[in-house]
Amino acid sequence: MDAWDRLHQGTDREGLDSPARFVLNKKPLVLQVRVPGRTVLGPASGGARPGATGARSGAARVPGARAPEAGAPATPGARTVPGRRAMPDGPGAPAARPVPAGRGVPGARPAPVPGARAMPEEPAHHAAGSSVRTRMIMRPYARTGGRTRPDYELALEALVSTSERGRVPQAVTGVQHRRICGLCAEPRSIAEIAAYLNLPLNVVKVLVSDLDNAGLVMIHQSGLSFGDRSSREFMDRVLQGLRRL
Amino acid sequence: MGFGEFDSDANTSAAAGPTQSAKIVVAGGFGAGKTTLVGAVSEIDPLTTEAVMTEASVSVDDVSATPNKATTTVAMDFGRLSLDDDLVLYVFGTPGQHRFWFMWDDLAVGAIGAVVLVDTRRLSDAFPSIDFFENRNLPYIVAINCFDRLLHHQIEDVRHALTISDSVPIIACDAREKESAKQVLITVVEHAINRDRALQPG
Repeated sequence: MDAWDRLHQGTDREGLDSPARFVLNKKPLVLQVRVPGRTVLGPASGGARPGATGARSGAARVPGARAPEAGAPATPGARTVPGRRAMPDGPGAPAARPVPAGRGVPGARPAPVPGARAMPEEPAHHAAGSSVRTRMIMRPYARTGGRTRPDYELALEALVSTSERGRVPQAVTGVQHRRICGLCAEPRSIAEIAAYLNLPLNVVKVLVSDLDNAGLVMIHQSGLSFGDRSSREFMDRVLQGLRRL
Repeated sequence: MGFGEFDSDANTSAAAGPTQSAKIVVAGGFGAGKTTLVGAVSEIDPLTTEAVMTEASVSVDDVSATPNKATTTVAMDFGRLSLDDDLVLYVFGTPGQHRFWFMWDDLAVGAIGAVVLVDTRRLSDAFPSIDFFENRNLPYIVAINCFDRLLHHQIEDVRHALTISDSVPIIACDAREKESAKQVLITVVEHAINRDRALQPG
C-alpha cells in the first residue's frame, strides 16, 4: 500500500490520466483482500503447531482491540501474541500466505476485523485523491494524440491567421484549437502562439497543421531562399522597414 | 461561384494583418546580452521563458564573469517588429545553454541572418555559435557588446582572435539601447544582401 501510494504520488501532476484517480474507489476492496489482519492470522494457521489454535484465537481477539493501529504488518501482530511464539511466525509469514485460500483458515474468517480495519485507511486515500485533483496539468503531447511532428514543416516565424470558417465557434472543436483560433484573429507566428498558450513549440505545430488541414486557419510561410530575385526584394523590404523605425 | 467566394474570403483575411514574416537570430555565449538586445528592439515585451537560475545550474553555467546575472534563458526568447502593414520581423535569441542545441536548427532555417553577440571578457563563448552559422552557411555578423560603453579591444584584434574572415562585419554595440540594437539588425540584413549579391550577381 505504501508502495502504491508512493508510486502514484509522483504522478500527481497529471491529474486526469493518473491511475491513482480512477482506482481510488476500488482501493478499499483491494485492501480487504490483503489486509494485514489476515496475513497476521495466516502464520498462525501456517504454523500448524500444537498450540496454534490457542494462539490463533488469541490473535483474533487481539486485533479487535488494536484495530485503529491499522496497517500493522505481521510482526506487531506476532508481538502482541504471547512472546513464546513471536519468532517462529516471522519467517513463516510468506509461506503462510497461500494457505488461507487453500486450507480452512478458520481462524482467519472469524475476524470481521478487516472491514473495520480498512476504515482508518480511507481518510488517507481521500486526502491523496484531493491532492491529485488540485493539479490538472496534462502531458503536452496528450493534446496532439501523441504526435510530435506536424504533417509538414512549419517555421517558427510562419504566420497563422484564423480563416472565416475558423471564426465560427461551432466549427472549431477542442479547447486548444479554439484558443489558437481566438488568438490568431490577428496573424501571429508559431512562436508567439507557443508563448501565449504556454505550449511546447512542436505541440503548437501539430495543432496548427491540424487546423490548417481543416481549413480553419491560414498559414503564411516566409519561404525565404537565397539567390532568387523575390527573396532579394524581400530582404530589401526588411532593410527599408528597419531603417524607417 | 464557390471559388469566387473563397477568393474574397482569402482577401478579406489577408487585409486583416501581416502576411509576411522574416527572422533574425541572435546568438552568443551565456550572459553576452542576447535577451537584452532582443528586448531593446522589440515592440512588444519579449516573449520569453526565463527561469531563475537555481543552485543546481550555478555549477553548470559559468557566472564568474557576470556575477550579477540572476537568471538564465532556459528557452529561447524573441521579439517582434512590425516593419510594414504586411511585414513582421521576429528576432530570436538562441537558448543560452548547450543542452538546447536541438533548437538551433529550427531557429536557423529560413533566417535572413544571424548576430553573434560577443562579450570580449569571454571571447571563446562565441566559438560554438560562429561554428554553427559557418557550417550552416548562414550570413552572420559579430557584434561586440560594450558593457560599460567602452570597447576594450581593437575590432581587428577580435577578428583575429575569433579567426573569422574579413568579409564578416564586426561592429560594436550597446545591447541596451534601441538605436544601437537596431543598427545591429540593419548590419545583418545589409550583410545578407551583399553576400547574396556576391554569390548570385544580377
